[in-house]
Amino acid sequence: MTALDPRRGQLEDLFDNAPCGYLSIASTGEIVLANRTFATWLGHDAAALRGKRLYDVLPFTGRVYWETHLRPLLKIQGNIDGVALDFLSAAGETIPCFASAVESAGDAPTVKLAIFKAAERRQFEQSLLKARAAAQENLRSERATAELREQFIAVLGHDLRNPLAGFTGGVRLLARENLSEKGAKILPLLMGSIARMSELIDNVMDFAKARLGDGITLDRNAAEPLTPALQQVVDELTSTYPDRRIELQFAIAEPVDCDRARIAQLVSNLLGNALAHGAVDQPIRMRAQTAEGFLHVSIANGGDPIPPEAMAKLFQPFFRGEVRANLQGLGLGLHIASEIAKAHGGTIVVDSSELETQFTFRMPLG
Amino acid sequence: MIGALACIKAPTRFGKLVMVGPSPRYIDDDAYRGGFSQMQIAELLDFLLINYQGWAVATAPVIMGNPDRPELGIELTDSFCRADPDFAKDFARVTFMSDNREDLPRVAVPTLVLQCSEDIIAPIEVGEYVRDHIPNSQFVLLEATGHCPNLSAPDEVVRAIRAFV
Repeated sequence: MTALDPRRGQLEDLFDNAPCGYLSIASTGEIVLANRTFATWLGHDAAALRGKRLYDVLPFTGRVYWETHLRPLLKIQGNIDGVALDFLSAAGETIPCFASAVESAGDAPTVKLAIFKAAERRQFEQSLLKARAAAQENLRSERATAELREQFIAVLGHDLRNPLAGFTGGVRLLARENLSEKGAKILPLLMGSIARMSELIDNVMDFAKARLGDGITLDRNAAEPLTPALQQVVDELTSTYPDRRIELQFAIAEPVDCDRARIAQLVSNLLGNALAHGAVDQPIRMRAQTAEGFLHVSIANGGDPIPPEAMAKLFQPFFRGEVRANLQGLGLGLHIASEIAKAHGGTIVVDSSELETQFTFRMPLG
Repeated sequence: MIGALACIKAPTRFGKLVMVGPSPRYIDDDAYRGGFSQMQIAELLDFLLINYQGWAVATAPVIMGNPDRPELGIELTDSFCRADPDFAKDFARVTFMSDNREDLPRVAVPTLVLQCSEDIIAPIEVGEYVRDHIPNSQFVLLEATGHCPNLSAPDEVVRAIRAFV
């Protein structure tokens, strides 16, 4: 370009009046060139900046950051991109900026910086950092509270077991006595309530244990047959619901490598649910079979379908749906059942329509 | 200083120690001049936080080999501590807040203190303090300026180290 080239004036204008600051620095740290925008921000004359050193326009923090981070980075990779860097005005004020820089190699390398003001962005960042710190603190305290609560549940569940055991023993002793007709009717109802309460306690304790990190522990055994364990669950629930009909179909022909007590608990939870929520005038159909390397247990009941909005939350702890007042529960049954299924590498799927509601548990045999 | 602590902890594993721009204590303390006030260091740590955890991190350059400077190869880029913002934050805090002055007399191996000209992080007085308090030490003032002479003037640093070892 010659001095007469009209583009020269345009280039000077672009350089001096650019919407960002430009700064060129010699390897000695001396400012070779600064544009007018940058000089104006700092309250200097552009010509006066020439010959000053970069450190003269950096506050203390910027100098240390430049020396410990930016200069080494420039040496290593030749450029830096969008880092926070503060500058120092002639009046001694700190001007928050962000900057990108390149270093040209060669015998007399220069560093060229493009600088943008970032006062508002810096404030925004500060408040984001503060908000994040506050959120982390909240989360920490929430977690601590949750853990305490779960420990409390575990202890409570454990302590409830002892008086319940005394209750069970007392009722069994009473059963051996000669009872009046009324007494003989009341006793099975008491037994049913005890069984239900003990199941609730089991669920609560399993939940607390799982939350406290122990998870659902399994005592697997493929040698023992599963059918009697399931039959016992059905018998217990039948005695609690003597008026209800349960159609059974057992076809467990192969050994199942599982924790039988846990599977019984799972089935008890599903079957108990079907009895509590299913239409009283329709039978429950339960089928347990082994086929193609899997154990399938399905339990179906008639009655109102599960509302679509409830389907997604069904297996979450403490979910209770639209529970009728007489059917108190903690909403842990399905959650525990699905945790037991997971621990066995299995799944529980639910299918609910006007016709019937069916839960199907499926797990690999071994 | 990490090297000095390692020498104290396991003296048999180290024959000699080279310290580049060392400072046992950045914050001024009575007669001792580390170069920084308590407030400056607090301000610095706050500022570093913005670059470690703020928006800048998202756009921070991934350190990579520089084709124009093959001598600063992968080895260096790997060791440059900037990877995890949380670690970088803690590292800065430990670096700028620690006081290792009492450790210096316990360094038992021959030590070379390499001091840069015009190092704002570790001024000459601080380098001299390190020399005066490590029993068997030598002091070399480099022509290189700044705090990372290994990057800005590697030849001079290598010459000084070779002469010592």
